[in-house]
Amino acid sequence: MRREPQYTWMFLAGVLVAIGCGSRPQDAAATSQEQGGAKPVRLAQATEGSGVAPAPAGSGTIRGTVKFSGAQPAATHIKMDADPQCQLQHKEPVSKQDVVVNPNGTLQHVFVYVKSGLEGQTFAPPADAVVLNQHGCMYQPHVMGIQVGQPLEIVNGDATLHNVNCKPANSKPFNIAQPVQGMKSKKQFTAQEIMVKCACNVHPWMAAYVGVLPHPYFSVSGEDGGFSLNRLPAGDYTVEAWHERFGTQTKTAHVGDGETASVDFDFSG
Amino acid sequence: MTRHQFAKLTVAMTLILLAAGGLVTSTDSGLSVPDWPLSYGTMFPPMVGGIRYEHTHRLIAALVGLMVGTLAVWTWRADARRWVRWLAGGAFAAVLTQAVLGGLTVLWVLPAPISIAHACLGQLILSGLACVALVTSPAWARVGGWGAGAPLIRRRGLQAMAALFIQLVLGAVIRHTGRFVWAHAAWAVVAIVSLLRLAASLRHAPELPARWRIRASFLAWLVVAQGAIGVVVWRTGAQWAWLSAGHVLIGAVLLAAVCVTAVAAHHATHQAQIS
Repeated sequence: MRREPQYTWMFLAGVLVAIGCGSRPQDAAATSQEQGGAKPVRLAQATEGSGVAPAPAGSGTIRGTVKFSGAQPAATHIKMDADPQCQLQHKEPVSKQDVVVNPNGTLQHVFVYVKSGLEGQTFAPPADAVVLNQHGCMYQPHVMGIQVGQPLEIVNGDATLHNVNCKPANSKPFNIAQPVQGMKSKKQFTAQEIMVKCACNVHPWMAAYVGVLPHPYFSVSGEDGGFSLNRLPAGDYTVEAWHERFGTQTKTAHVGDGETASVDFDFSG
Repeated sequence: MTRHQFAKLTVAMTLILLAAGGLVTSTDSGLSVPDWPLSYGTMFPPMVGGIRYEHTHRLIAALVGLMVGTLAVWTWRADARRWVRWLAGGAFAAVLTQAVLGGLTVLWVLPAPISIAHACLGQLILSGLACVALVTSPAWARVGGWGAGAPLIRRRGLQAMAALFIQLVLGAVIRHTGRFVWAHAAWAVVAIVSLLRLAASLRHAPELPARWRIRASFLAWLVVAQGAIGVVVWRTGAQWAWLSAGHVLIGAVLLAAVCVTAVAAHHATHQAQIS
């Protein structure tokens, strides 16, 4: 077979041209920044408002605790060596956030919300954004709530790049790039959904869950395992608690004007 | 370098590309780079986390695209056989289509039909390129002496191709939707039987050159290995990315091998009819 080196040279020339066409990363990153904000975002700023509903009408309250019984799962440490910038931000090993049992035997990261009892009522979404921050290559908060139509501000608080891949079933999914520290992007969910998972495919351990509701009566259990649904109109309600590993539990409660009803949940491992 | 050597190099590079693509899916890294054709607005983003898999896949894909384009132009200008020119040109058109499908999977956030089409077309391109390598080889002219066994090999080769293609689609559906695992497992029996029947017909064709009988043994062992790996991937929930990607890669090699065998058997049958 005849040797035809000119085609090999043609191919090699193509490779060189392709390599030469690359633009500088920092230029590209700057142009893809959506909303400026080159300054790093403080964690305190980022968590403000997340998972906390503003006050609408009504004076009733449903308050309670999410308890945990059974064997506590052993903490699993996250390997962050895939990105040195992530590793640098943690002096101690970081545990997974899927099951966090508080020292008082309660469960963290449980999304508690009014599932029914508000039919026929409409609640305008707040203009203030709920913030989902990426800090130390972890989402903060890990579980949060937002109203349908309320702005969601996604912030890159890290000195590394993230993609934010949210997969709602009832709203339009999105996957955005946040290559620059301090970058902010605003999104909205257009329909109710329990829960929307957001993840970073660059750092596969990163996951956040967003409860999207047409009303503001939701809460997330914190470091004391407590939750509070405030300023409810008087009525009978079904309250649901959602946990990413342990599923859902439902309770009913009656609330009168100015009254506080107590509802506790108990998840077991 | 001869055109045949360049075609073989292109096939080898395409295999590496398929392995890289398999790893992208197995590590769930496909959306780690949300933009396309650039990656985070550049050709060389920081290679961290999932970007290592996704961007490496893109770089290899660009290289393969250039190689297949070069092979197509080379063949178009150097090969007198019209059907070979169209085969090489078709491979290049398929590569361009594949690039667009890859871009759409990213921009449309992994729509299952597009991702499945991307997975299947990649393996078909490998088979097409393997055929280009076959028909540009010096051995192509000697394929005629396969004797009376050639029509049977051709028939079983086509059956195995069809069985493997269905298995490929079912596998891609599992990987991109998580559904129909049972169908892929059940159809594996059909695919394995059809491949072993092909291997047996190659082994027992007396006039077949010795290297084809060696390939038949290799094919049979590869089928057995593929079945075993498939069971392990299934029972362990695809938790090892490398193993899942290996399963995809071996599937691609099997499809290409069967395709090459069927084309060679068709050529041998045709040559026998002429003479």
